Amino acid sequence: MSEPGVLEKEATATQTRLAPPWKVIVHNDPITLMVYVTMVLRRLFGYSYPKAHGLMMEVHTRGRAIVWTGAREQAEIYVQKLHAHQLLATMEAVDD
Amino acid sequence: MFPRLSRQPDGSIAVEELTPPFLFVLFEVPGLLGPDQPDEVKRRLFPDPSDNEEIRKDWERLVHPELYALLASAREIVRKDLGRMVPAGGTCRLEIPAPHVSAWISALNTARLALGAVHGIEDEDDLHPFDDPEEEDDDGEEVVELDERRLAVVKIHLLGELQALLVLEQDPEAAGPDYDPGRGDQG
Repeated sequence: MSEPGVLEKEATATQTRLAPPWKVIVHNDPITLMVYVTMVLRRLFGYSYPKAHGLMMEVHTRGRAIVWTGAREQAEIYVQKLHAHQLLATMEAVDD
Repeated sequence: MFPRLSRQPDGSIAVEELTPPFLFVLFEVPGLLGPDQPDEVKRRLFPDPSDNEEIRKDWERLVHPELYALLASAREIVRKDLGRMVPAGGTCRLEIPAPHVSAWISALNTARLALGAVHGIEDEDDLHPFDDPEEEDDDGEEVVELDERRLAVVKIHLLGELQALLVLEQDPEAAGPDYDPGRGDQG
């Protein structure tokens, strides 16, 4: 109990937590041309040919590849652009 | 059999030697990009971006209208360019202005995906329908019936040939450092 006339200060602690990153995933489909996927990855993300080709091959052989990881808002923009190029793309929080 | 592409001094791409089979398929492209598409095509062209319900609802409200507008724009560009083709020695010549090339690549891709969605093309084997004929004629010889699904696969391949040529004309590095445009090798 506090003394009369004395304000008791409540101790508080603030915990900040960074928003989790999101990953952008491209999924395989049998119809989209490999060279087209490589071109789209190069154009949207600015990847070099070896990186874009490697990711495209991962999509082709494993069925999916994480093509980018970062803030949610940017992930949404990338998925929208990938959909505009008709690639099957989704986004997931990294800690999902 | 396959068309020949050449970049013109003004940056446009001339597609020459378009034979009747190619023309037949190309003129179907605007229709395949039409607004009244079957549900299976809509599901493929406008896929869910996430398992997150909030994102999906926002997507339908905010992103799908933009994707529909892009599709309509590409359809209109292709339709107009096809209307300006000129005959050239038994084949046709199509000129794609430089600002239209990306729309053409996108339209050809969309048309291929639409055909695949309508006909249930779901894996690589479905793209080789002549490899394993299941029908036999009266003499027991294997025969292939050119049904709608097989015809759709032929169209997917033809449109893919033109799409690949345009992609490589637009971005030769997409085929890798060893690509030589003069060889017509798609890498």
